[in-house]
Amino acid sequence: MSNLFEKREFTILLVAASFALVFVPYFLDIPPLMELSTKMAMIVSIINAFAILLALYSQTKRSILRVGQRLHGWPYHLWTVCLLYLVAIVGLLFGQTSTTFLFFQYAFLMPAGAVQYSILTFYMASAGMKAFRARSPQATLLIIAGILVMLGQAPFTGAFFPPIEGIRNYLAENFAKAAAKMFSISMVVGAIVLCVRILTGNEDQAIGYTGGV
Amino acid sequence: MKNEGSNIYKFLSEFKVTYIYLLIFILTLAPILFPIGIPITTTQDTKDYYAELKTLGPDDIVLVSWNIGFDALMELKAGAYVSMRAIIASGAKMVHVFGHPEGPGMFPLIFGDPNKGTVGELSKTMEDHDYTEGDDYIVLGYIMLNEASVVSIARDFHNYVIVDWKGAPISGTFLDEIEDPADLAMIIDFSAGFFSEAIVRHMAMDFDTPMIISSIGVSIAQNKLFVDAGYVSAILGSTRGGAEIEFLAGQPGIGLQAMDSFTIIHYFYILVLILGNLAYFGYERHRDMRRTALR
Amino acid sequence: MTNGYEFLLFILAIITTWAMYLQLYGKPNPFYSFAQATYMGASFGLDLVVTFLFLYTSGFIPITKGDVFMALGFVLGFATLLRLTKRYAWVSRIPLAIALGTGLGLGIRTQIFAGFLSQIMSLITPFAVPSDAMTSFYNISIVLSTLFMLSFFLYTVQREGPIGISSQIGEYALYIGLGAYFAQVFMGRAGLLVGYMQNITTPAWKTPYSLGIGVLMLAIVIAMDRYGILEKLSD
Repeated sequence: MSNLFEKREFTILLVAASFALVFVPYFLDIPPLMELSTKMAMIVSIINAFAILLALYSQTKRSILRVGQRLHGWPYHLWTVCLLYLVAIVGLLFGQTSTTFLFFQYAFLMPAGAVQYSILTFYMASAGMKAFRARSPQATLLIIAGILVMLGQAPFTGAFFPPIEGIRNYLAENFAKAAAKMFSISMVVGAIVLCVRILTGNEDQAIGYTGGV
Repeated sequence: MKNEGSNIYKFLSEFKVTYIYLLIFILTLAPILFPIGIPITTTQDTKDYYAELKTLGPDDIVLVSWNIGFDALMELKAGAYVSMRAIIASGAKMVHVFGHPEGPGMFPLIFGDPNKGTVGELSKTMEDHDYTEGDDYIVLGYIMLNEASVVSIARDFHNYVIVDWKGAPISGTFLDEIEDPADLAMIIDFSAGFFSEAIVRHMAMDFDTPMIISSIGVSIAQNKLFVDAGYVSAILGSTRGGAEIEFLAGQPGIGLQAMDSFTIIHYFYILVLILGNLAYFGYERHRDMRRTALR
Repeated sequence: MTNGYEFLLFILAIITTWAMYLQLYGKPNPFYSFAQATYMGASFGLDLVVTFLFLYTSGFIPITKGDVFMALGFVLGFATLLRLTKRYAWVSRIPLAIALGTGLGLGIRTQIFAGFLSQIMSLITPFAVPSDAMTSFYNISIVLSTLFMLSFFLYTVQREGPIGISSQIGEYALYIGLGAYFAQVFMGRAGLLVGYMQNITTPAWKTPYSLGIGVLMLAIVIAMDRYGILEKLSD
């Protein structure tokens, strides 16, 4: 019996059945089917949440390996895994709104997270100085468009040269949005193709068949 | 040896990026510490967003979706504070959900925690309008982990959400009036791009619920597509949008204060782009051509 | 000023801030390694807590209220963990298949409408709006920009004749769009930087501590670099 469930064809059938169970009710007005489809969504939200346990196992194993082998920087990995479990225990024992749990967030997570993303400003500036070169007409257009939109974004420019708002609006609304629209249309077409490939069994990696397990 | 190009271009080409980083720090901090007071104009997007907020009334229930963490809060907080004050002043009720794990930690910074006596940014406003947790707003917590969660909330709300973030049952509260997103007056989404698209597709699109988004700069172009499609009514764009809405609402605060640094940083970056290209055309291009000729 | 607990919180936050910013120094340093390890551990711990609470409130409590169907979610969720065993790893493909199929079904239907049909329908706008030349120009411009950009990504036809011209214009339009998009990304990041700098310098009592600790940490890193012990103590 387990041989049947181990087969690749069974997995593909399961994907297709789950897909149909969720997709079809929108087009057929059968309330029990819609309820079943809603239940499927709720169950899947639970299944997806369990992925964090796999990540926990991965991270713990990796850190312990580095610590055990005394690789360069091993104290930091020991600290990572200790803090991980400490924060988790504190949060589960005292609650997510407790002062103790919030302490870790306000002292470490908030500054580190804010800096991690704001530091891109610096890297973009260094890229602007060293990498953005008007070597070709396309690159020149990119730089000029970027400069015009940035001028429009700075409030001071608009206060003294009102037409810059119209220029910024035109470049952002017509070109940036057109590019986003074009990417959106292309991505959906690609997603539909990928979906059909998965449902017809042409994408083994998506269903966990990588040649090993 | 032949002349390698004017010294100024070579200097620009070999200018260390560390000094650029230092200059950015100085140019960001200086206007914060010594404000200038740069004037600001408002864009149509912000006016549309504010107009949508003004349509809310005491009989309305609003879903506020926080798909941001601490990082994006730094960018969107000005707009968030004005938006929340407008809703509190209108008397509309709010139901808060988080799509980011940092949401439950971020929330007390904004609303405080009445049970613990923690004071948040909006505590005074809530006190002035007698806006209390349980009666006027409910926090459901981090329940939007993935797209399937968003669909579950939209299609079977009362079976999926039984308690709030502190474990108190939601039955017997104003949420009894909500069966699906069609019963909401509006959805307000603070978006860093996590599950905002799922909310647009499964709530605003499927149930025709009016929706507005306060978006980080990276996601503005993408979110504007939904405005074009008619699913989202208005977008508030990043820090500039926050400053504009403070100006429109007559609530000058951190957003407008940030505009001095914001402007100077933008001009500095334009200068950096121009200087970098001057270095290229004045020195690097000739150097590369000479290297090619010598081979 | 503020109370002792909040002051301690502020000092730790400032130390973490400058420790993270020290990656701009250009060399690995112990402050940044420590801050990075702390960030990873704390954020993972936070994810664990909120996910467990989610499983409890949205999974376990409905079961106790009589929704036995949700127990299937837990059974399948635990089945995903069998991936870690060699003998029963195949069992983990079952919940994976269900999650994949359901996700596809939920996503594709709405994506077709929101990301494809609606986007095309929004392009169908009047080219000539009476007494509003600007709107007419905008409408024509966005339709042509989108079509030209789409033609740039046609790889299955020869780029000659009208398609060649269209894709060339599309390429230029795409680069203009990317330039505008880049400026919006910069606005977002700059806004984040300014917002956080405001956070660590207001109210005014925070400023001397913020700047002083930053300068001190930079001085320590420079000293470590001079004595050659920077990389030894880093990750």
